[in-house]
Amino acid sequence: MFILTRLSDLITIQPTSFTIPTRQALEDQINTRYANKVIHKVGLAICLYDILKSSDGLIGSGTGNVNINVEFRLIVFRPFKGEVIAGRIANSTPHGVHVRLDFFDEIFLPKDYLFEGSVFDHNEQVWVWRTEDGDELFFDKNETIRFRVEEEEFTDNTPVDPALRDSLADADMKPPYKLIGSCYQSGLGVVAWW
Amino acid sequence: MKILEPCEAMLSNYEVLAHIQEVKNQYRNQVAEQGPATAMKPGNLETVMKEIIDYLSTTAATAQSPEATIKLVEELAKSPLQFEKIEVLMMLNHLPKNETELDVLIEELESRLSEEQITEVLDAIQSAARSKPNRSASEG
Repeated sequence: MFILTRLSDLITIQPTSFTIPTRQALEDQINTRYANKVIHKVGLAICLYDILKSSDGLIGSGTGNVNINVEFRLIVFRPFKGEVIAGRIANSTPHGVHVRLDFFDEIFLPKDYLFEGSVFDHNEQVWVWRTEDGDELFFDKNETIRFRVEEEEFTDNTPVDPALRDSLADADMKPPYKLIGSCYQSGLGVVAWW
Repeated sequence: MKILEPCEAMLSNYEVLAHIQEVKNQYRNQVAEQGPATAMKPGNLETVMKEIIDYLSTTAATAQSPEATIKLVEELAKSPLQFEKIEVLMMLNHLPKNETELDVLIEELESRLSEEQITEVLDAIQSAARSKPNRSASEG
């Protein structure tokens, strides 16, 4: 579920931070830049793990900022395909079930990936799994659910030329990182069932 | 920014939880030593650390201790059953309690393992989880 990613970056320390020990200032800068942000094709960065190397600081002309090349590792949320994760049901729609973890909300279980015999109850707005034995099991909101990661989707949300934007209007709406999960194997589904 | 190595290693939930708790403690000590001015950490970091702790404290990670975890990993990795690395990782994150839960994590469980072997694996996992019994009883 979590991985370590090695990055290098040019970190700038402003003169206002010169009173803080350099190491701590670097850690703060790296966390400000990466924590809780999605890196394209890498995953959701959680926080700094450790600093491996840093160069001497260089002061550029014009400003008093110190520039330091740093090599460091981040903890990144990037489940692998086939991994089983537990989350909570955020809401259900006729298209499927939305699941969230406390720190990550973009998980979707499409209706085709739910148990065979699952139907959507429009009155209750909830998915119901009718088992072969005739039992009815509900995908209730806020229940803890276990699902398997099937696909991941990265969307590059870097700003585009306004002249081109019309054709890409809905691209702005897409989350930068999204997981598609499945729930059709015994043992998966609401944890309380098993 | 340059990505040198997108996936250098995989971390278990427990390692992530331990790291974040350590960072939090470190920040708390800083405040004690250097005064409250150093308490100002980036907002995005505070948010994600709180959310990760919230999430991981609902998982099996809270029931683990470093010694028991290392022992379990060694046992599973060296076992003649030849688990894949990711299978060991998932078992560690979920600490399955019964066969159905284990079946989800391990591909073709029934053809690879006999009944006794399944029981053995489950026992090993349970003994690792039992290091903090009062907590493991309340989770799940």
